[in-house]
Amino acid sequence: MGQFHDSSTTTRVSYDEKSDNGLIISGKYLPEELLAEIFCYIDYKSLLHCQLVCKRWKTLIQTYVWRKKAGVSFNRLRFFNKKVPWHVYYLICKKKPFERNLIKNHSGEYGTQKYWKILSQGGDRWKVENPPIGVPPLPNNELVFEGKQFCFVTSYCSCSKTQIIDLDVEGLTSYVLDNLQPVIVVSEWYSCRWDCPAIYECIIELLREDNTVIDSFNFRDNIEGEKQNQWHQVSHEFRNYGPGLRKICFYHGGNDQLFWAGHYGSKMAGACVYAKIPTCNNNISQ
Amino acid sequence: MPNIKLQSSDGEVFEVDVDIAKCSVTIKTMLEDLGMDEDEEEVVPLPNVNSAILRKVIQWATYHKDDPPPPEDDENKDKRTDDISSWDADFLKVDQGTLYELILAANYLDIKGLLEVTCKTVANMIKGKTPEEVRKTFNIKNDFSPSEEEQVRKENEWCEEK
Repeated sequence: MGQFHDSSTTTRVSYDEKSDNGLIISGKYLPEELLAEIFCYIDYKSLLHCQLVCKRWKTLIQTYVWRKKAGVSFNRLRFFNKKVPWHVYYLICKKKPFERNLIKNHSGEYGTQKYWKILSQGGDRWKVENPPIGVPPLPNNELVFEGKQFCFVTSYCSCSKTQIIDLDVEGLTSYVLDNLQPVIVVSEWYSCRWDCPAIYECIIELLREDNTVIDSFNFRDNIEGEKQNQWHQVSHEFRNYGPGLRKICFYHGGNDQLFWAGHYGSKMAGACVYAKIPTCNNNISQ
Repeated sequence: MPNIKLQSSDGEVFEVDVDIAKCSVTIKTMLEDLGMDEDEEEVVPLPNVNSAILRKVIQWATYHKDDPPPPEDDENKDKRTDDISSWDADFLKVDQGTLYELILAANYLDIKGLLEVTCKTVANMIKGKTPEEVRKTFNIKNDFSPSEEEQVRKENEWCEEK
């Protein structure tokens, strides 16, 4: 047993499937379901330590407890999927990075500049309207708007701005991105007034650490005639984008087509980037 | 208040207010299913609970008899463990063996509040401890081979990388 003389002070034994090790707690037998009940009250950091206590604890935590805890955090049954590896549930418990909008100030509630980098503001500059003027209200059944009626408006010369999302900060670590390739969904609502046609455009880029582009989605619409005076949604999904994704750059902008002073340009609201919960695929190690 | 009789696994009979006994969903269901009448001299057998633990359970249920019923679905809030009342904390100052027997009894008798507070107490014994400290606290053996242990450690590090 020479190879076992490491720093640990309790004796190491070899794993025996039939043994009750891990279920006998201080001499009393606790069935797995009750042990799991206890684990559900434990914070994620201590739970990582618990995975190192013994094999039975590790298996129980990795196959059940993370999932259960993440479900608790989300309160949505559809996330109970046995194919999702445990790391994902750990991240859900810790940072809740999936299924939430990673764009901040998505509709202008905090002004035109907050969290956005203005690239151009021609004409009468960027503006925020609350509620939108010259168009119907934003669809109030869309969760992205959080029940509010803010939107950005462009002017008679090009207005554009960007927001860069650092995915690591949001809890999407390089391991999760590279190995699990969560589907990235991007979307935005856009419109223009009934009396003035306009141009809307957006470009969403998936970036590596060094800002080189892995994949991008370009969209441009001349909002004219019947398309005016209503809200349209542009959306796109990025899949199988390969390793290296670290940042996402969201660009949008536009202007009106008649060169009218004031804010007759395109309007946009509900800019949204989110990562779907990954399901298991063949890329996962082990 | 009508009483019913509960018999522990070791034969001791406890006379308990029906309303207190019914905080156990198991007993409540039993009484309903069996159509047991409250004035009858029937004894409810509880073969999974010994007298020492049953006495504790009755003590807990008596103190908590006027509590509002626990929320049916508390799944949407994160589970806290720092909200144990001082009465419960005192009540649960028992040896680990008794604590686990209370968990088993609360589970068998289906008393949600007692199960919650006992599980939280054990969770608090685990929180913030290293794996080795947990093993010592609960007398669990390390049955990982060194390489397996290293593998789990690595997986944990992936998670912790930020």
